Amino acid sequence: MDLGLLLNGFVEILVPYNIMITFFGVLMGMLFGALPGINASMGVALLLPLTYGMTPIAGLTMLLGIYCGAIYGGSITAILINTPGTTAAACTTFDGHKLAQQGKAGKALGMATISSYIGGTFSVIVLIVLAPVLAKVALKFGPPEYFALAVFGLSIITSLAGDSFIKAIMSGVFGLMVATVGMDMMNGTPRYTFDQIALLDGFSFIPVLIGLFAVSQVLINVETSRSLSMKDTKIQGMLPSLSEMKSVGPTIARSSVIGTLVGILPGAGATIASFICYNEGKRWSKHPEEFGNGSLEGVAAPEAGNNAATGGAMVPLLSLGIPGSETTAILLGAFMIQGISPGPLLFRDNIHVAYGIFAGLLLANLAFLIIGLFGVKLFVKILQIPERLLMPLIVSMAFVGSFAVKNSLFNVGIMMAFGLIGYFMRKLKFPITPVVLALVLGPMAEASLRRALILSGGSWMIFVQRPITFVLLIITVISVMFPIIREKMTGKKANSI
Amino acid sequence: MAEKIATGIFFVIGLIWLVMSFSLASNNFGGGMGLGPDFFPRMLSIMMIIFSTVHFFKLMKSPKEEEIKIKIYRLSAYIFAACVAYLVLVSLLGYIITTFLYISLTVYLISRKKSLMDLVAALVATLCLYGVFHLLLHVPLPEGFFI
Repeated sequence: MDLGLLLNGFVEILVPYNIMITFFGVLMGMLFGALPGINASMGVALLLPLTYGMTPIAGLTMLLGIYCGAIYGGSITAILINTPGTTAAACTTFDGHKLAQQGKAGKALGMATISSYIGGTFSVIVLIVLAPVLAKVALKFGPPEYFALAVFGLSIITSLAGDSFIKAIMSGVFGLMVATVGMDMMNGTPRYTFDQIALLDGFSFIPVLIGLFAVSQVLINVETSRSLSMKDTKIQGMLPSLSEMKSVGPTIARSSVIGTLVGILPGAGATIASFICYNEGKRWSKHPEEFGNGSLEGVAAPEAGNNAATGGAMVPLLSLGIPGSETTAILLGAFMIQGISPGPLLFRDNIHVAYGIFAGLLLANLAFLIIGLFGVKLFVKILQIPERLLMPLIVSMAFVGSFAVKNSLFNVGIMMAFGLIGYFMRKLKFPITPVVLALVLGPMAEASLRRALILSGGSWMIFVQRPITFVLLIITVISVMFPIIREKMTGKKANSI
Repeated sequence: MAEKIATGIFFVIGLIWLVMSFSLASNNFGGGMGLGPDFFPRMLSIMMIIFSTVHFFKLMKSPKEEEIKIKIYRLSAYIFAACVAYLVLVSLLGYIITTFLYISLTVYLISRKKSLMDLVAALVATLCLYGVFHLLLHVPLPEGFFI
């Protein structure tokens, strides 16, 4: 950690425009997080086009603000109407809504806000300490190591597989194939462009993404009507007392550490972190019997955990350039659009951007603390926006976002096509996340593979001879095999019962 | 049935990618070392063909109850059709008019109620979009013959 550089980062982020942008991002994130049916990934994808004209630090901080805000925002609807706005807030309903039913909605919201802030900030500090060190190690990486990293990143697909392993792989391979469209990056041959000039640069990342996440979700959302009514909930007395803070202190501390570690692991994100933290919170608590009946610890544990996962997830993204989850995959795309490639080179060539982002993340966490504590009543009013208006608004934003990439309606068409593809994939339970991971990591995997083989004169032994590459590939094999073995084991168990 | 069709489509995509990979060069810059642009897509297409075939036979063997049935709602189809109309009309009518029409049509499709308030809301939403994107952030918007 370099305090001078961090200070410099604060100087860059703490100008009125950037502060405003960060607060806007966090507020939008909270909105996307709190409203059920739309989530952080969609928010980042939809609002990405807003950042085209911004400086990298402002644009990326806004997007990271959306991410942090969304993970926190999920708790608001979880507490008030027992519907988690994001899956990461599912555990918060257990005790949070119980507290609201007991008339202590304010207390629950306050606890969720403060523990989210502590968890999130702790994880950013870990990020600031850890990422530069990891990046320094990764600076020695050559093409073979990058290939191994990309393959490792892709292997996360198997751990993200919902009910079917093979369907997740098919989704992933489909994404990789989509990524091959366009001019070959090594010798310029057009591939799979079907003689369309517009496809020479390949499918633009943004329209594909917006189609898969926003348009398809809108088509699914309109099929079921949801209403958010929270008129009768009174919100008051948000700040916890000193004795309450003392009693939940250890829980928040524990969740912050666990959440950060889980976040760093690729494939496990905020949702898994919140579940683990809730369980651990109950296990270590002096009053485990209160869990599920409106325990403040039961709110603090998952909320500190899921926000701690946000900073953790940034560690592999910023230092190695591999995304560990859906949202971080989209963020990786956002970095590339800003002309900045996350990974060791970020810390060598754009170190001021890296530290600007660190400072921005700290500010983003502060932003949701402030909005959460002082503006939640107003925020709840915004949440009442009727769905019949929200859905066309989302599509309109998607429309502008896809158009603005290259000023072309062709990209809007691409967006709609992928909206339809995403709709059917969701319906048929083909997971979408592998497609996004593949779109980001596919080109990296192919380029580094081919560069590595040029380096070795065509010999594949290069991947075994270099220790880091070899170890990474072994880890990849293990992480791919693990779910298969687990599936076989649990399958057998299920049969024997 | 729907899942079998989807798996079949994945298989066909794999097949197209495989066939087309043979018309790509197999080396860099006329005979250099390493792999050409054909290698990666060919590997992927082979993987796709294998996985979709395996999945297809798995679906054939599995009992009928486990089949994923999909119901496509008429509303989703209408909403999507409205999006297509939006795309087609925007270069004719211009951004503001088309967006207003699109939002008010979709609001009506979802609520099935004719409400003046919704029309006002659609107008405000359109102007907000135009204001934020075009006037504030200078994001380019599609242009038509009108505004």
